Order: sequence, then structure tokens, then C-alpha cells
Amino acid sequence: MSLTTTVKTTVNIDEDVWEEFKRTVDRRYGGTRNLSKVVEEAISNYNTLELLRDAARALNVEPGEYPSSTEVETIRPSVDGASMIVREMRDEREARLHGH
Amino acid sequence: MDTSAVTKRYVRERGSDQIDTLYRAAEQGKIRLAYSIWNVGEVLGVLDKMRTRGSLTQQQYDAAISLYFGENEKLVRLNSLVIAPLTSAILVESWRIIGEQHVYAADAVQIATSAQMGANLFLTADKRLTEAASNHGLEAINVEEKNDIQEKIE
Repeated sequence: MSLTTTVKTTVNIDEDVWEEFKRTVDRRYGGTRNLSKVVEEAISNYNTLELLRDAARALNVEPGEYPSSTEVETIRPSVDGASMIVREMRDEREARLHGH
Repeated sequence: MDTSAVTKRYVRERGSDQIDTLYRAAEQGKIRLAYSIWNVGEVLGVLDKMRTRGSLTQQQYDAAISLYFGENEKLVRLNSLVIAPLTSAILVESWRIIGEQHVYAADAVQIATSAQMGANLFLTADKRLTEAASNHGLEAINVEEKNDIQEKIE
């Protein structure tokens, strides 16, 4: 069982932005009881290091020691065409969206 | 950095030397690298495609993925790399870029992220994206064509 600690904090937010946010939460959840949870989720989206770790966990990549630059350059595979695949993936997606 | 530039760090191919120069400079604190959180999925997608096509063995794929996560976490912790969140401001700007540069959404996100972060250089290995980023007012470099990264760092 894991225990999580919560904090109560004060931040200054533009009133219009905050009211619109509360209305959005209300529309989605039928009330604002989940406000803290949604704020936490929005903050998590900003914490990209945690997202990167989540991705590693999702792929079962065990956190190990950080590699040095030399290790990266020595261990990585040599294969042509990686950057071309990026264009290929984006074009494929665009073609699918346009029904080609 | 566009995904096409980031992948060159974890799979050696044309242009990898340029990207290595940048990563080493970042590790030494001379520059700060940045790319969108969107690119994480694309990097993983590229490596997965290479594996399924047989260009990478399972062992090579595992090594590349492990190096990617390990080094990127290290650089973020050193404040040498920013993985930019996909904010509403970046999304809105990318939608404007789609109409302005006639590019696909993922390309527009690359340009919008770079512009919003005030990047000095936009790095890609994609000719079309180099042109679109230049047209948007960014100093764009195709790392497969130009070899002056060291000068830019200095």
C-alpha cells in the first residue's frame, strides 16, 4: 500500500481563466468535487520528466545508470533511414485522415 | 529539435555527428536542447518501425530505447534539455502554422514549440520542414545537409 501526501497551496490565477476551468470541470464531471484531481492532472501534463519516466515504465525499461555520451555513441546501432521514417509516419497519418 | 534530429542520436546515420556535437555541448552546459513531448511518441514509433521491418534486432531496439530514456532523463535533470509540454498556446500557434505553411499538424507542432521557446536554431533532417520553419522566421538547419553546428555553438 502506498501513501500519498497532499499539499494545500495558494496560487494567483486570472479569474476568467479559473472560472472557465471550473465550468469545464463541472461539464465533464457534473460538479467541481474533482477540481483538485483535475488541477493535479493539468500540472502532471506540464511535468514532462515524469511523463518520460511513465513512457519508460510502459515499455518496461528498467531505470539504470545514466549513460555517458561515449556510451550512447558506442552502443547505438548504425542503421540508415530513421529520420526518413518520421516523414513517412506523418505522411501516412495525413493520407489516412484524408482517406487516401 | 524535430524528431528526425533526435532519432539520429540513438541510431547512427547521416547527420548523427552533428547531433552528437550538440548533445555533448548540452551535457557540458554550453547550450540547452529542447523538443516537444509529442516527439517522445515519434521517437518510440521510429524505433518500433525499424524493429518490425527488421532493420533493428530486438537487442538493438532495446539498447536504443534504453539509451534514449537514460540520456534524456539525465539531460533534463542537468537542465541541459527541455522536453516542452504541449500547451494550449503551442497548439493554437500550431493551428495557425498549418494554414500559413500548409504543413501537417505534427510538423506545425515542431515549429510552434521552437518559436514559443525562443529557440536560436531549429534542427531537423527533413527538407520540407526546414523550408516551413525558415518561412516561419526560424533559423532552420537540415542536419543532413549542413555541417556548421560547431560554429553555431561557438
